[in-house]
Amino acid sequence: MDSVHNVGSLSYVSQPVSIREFLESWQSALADEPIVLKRLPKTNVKQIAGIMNVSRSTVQELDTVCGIDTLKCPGQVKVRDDATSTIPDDTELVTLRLRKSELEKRANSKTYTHRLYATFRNHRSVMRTRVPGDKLIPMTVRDVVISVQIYRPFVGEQSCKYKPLVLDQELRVLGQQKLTDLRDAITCVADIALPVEMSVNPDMPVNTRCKDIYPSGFFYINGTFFNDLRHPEAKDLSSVIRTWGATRPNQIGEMREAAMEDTQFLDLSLRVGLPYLYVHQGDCEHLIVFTDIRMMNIEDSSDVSKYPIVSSNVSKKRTVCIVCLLYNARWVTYDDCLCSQSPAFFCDACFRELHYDSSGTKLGPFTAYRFYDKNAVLP
Amino acid sequence: MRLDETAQMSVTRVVRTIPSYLAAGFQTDYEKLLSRFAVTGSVRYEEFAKIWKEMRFPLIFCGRSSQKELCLFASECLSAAQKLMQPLYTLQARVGALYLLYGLYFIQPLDPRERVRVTLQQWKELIELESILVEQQHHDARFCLLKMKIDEAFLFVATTTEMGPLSLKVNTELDGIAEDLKAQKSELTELTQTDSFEQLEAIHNQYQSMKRALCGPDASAPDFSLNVVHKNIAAVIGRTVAERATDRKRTYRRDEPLMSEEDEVIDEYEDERVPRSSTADKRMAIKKKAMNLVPTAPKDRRHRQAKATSSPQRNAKRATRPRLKPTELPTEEEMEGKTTLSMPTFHVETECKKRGRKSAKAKASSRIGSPKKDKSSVKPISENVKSHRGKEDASASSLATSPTVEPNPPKRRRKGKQPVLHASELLVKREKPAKKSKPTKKTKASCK
Ligand SMILES: [Zn+2]
Ligand SMILES: [Zn+2]
Repeated sequence: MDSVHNVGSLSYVSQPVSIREFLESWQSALADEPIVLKRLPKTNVKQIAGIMNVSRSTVQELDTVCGIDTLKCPGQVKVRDDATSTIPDDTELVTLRLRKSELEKRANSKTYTHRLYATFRNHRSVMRTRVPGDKLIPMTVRDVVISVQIYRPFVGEQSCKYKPLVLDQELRVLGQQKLTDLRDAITCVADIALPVEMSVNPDMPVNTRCKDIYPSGFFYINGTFFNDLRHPEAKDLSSVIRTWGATRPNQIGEMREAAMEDTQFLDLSLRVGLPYLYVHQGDCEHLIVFTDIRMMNIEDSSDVSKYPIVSSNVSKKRTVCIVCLLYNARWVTYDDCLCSQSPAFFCDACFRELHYDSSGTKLGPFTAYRFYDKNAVLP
Repeated sequence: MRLDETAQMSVTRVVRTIPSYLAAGFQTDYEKLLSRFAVTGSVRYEEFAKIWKEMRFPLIFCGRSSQKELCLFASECLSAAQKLMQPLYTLQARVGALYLLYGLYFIQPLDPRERVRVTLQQWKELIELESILVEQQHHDARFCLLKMKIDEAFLFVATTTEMGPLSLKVNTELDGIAEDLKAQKSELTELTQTDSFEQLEAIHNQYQSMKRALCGPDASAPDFSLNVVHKNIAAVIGRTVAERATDRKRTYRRDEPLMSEEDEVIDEYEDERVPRSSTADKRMAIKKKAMNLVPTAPKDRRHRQAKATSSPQRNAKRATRPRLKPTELPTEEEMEGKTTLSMPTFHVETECKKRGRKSAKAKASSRIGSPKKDKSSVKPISENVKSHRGKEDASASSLATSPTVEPNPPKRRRKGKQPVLHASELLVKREKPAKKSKPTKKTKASCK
């Protein structure tokens, strides 16, 4: 499949990285790093002296000569400083002068600023997932942290070639975790939707969700379909694709199948940056991208049970009712005789006012489903 | 098949590029800092801290209002500093880069701090550096590195950047381009600024007089049939180059308001310490110093690499020659027999030579059987011209390339990938309208 997409020519895709090899090579490389094992207090002169094999007074002297205080200078920006946008005039730094003109440019052009911020939108910020209670674990037994991006699914049958790629969720998983852990952390409204047409009785009590009826799903990573078969009713959604692929062995290459619940991330060999696929609910297709593979850092939580950690949920515009243009949409109707659009979105009040008479009878033919706005119902 | 289509779509997507380079100017700043540190010739932290404070370097993080932007900027700065610690630089330069990294890391106004991304290879190099520091008892540098390690300043990663179809492409080239354009510093202008034109002029005069000599002892001008090259070739090339440079400048200026600004800024801070020259030259000067005048050979030729101690003079001479890539360096053996290197082998020679040099040489020597042909000195040219009296047309190319004539040269010509219009090409172009016949073609072909 790699040759179909000419993966090697893509600037944002790396060579395949075997997670286990990555982990093991780093663990052995860091084996000789005793100092990184412990979080030393700033002035732990004794330990630094021990590592450097010098006397304590030497370390104290070094701290006064080379300490962080020696770097400071008046007027520098501090953490969470609101005055970060002011630039001193009397500076010889070229960066700052260019920065000044850049800020002027932004002040003068809203279009430019907008375009600029749009590009930043998906960029991560620094993040601390570690909490004070988390214990420090030695370098050599730390796990791999893998950042995953989940993209919004492509809806409908039309070509998705020209649709924008919209980021939906960013997660961090550990190497020791199973692929199913990632799957369970991916939130999609298709899973919580109610699989019942409710136009006859909008108050019909429904307890089953789509996920309960259609629990199947798979990841497609490097030529292998990882099927989630934990649920007894789960089906192998990939079989039809594999059958299709088998008829084109030269173009597509070999397609394998494996169990999602038996596979750790450590078992994988990933291309960083290459879009892989997550399919659930039959045809809800999300691209997933592994954007970073790294060793766990001090700022990462060492608590395995917290992973996968959601590092960002990209907010998007909510869907509003087409009548009042005020409240969140709760209902979606298709082929609605009272409305020119299909699908059409309504808030609860407007939906009932428009479609039913006082006795609760339908005022015309239409089909209605409960609508879940991802931003309104999912964390 | 939708699966296929989905993936296909993602593949055709273009990575977003930030409209302006966030770390614009930073390179100029750190180069200034490091070159000042290099001038001290010391590896002491005090010296570094003095310059750091003099320049008020911590202010570099001013004017970044959004946190995401600050993160991007910090990571740009850190990776730039980290790249300067590569083992190909001298210890003094590497220690300077280490201090820079230490300073930037601890002064960044972010909590938690942006980490320094290191791959396994880079980490091994860092550990190697540390062992040198331990060995040579540079406690201050060791202490700084230790401080960073204790803070877990390094992020052990698989790839140098985060990657993905939506990842921001930070165009680091932009900074350089802007500066280059500011000083009109394209490869073209460099060509005119080096003395290659004088050399070309000299050769041309020699060539003309030789042609005159062919016509008889008292001929005032060469025979008409020998006019294959423009009479004032150097001037013509110079003019064309200047025209093109102006065009280029105009094209890029359109959407680059940064440049004029930088232009001004650079002019202002230009002081007596650094003579007025392009940023590229300064960069080269720093690199030269950092690399201790040893041109680095590509890995497969390490065994042939010149040693700084063995013959400093020769190496110095080599290192000061501008725009000479290690791969183009004459090998030791080639160097031995040469006393003069003033011939335009790598000034006037350009891409055509790079491409065809080896094969052409090999073929030529096998065909003509004269080992001397390889030496690019004045003599072989004249010999060559004489021995190929009937083929003067080819001598034009022999001026620009190695003095060999190929009866049936390979007609390979790669188009498109030619960022620079080079001298030999110009020469051919000039000649084209005048002579459409065989000789010109041959000239061109033997050139390629
Ligand atoms: Zn979905
Ligand atoms: Zn409404």
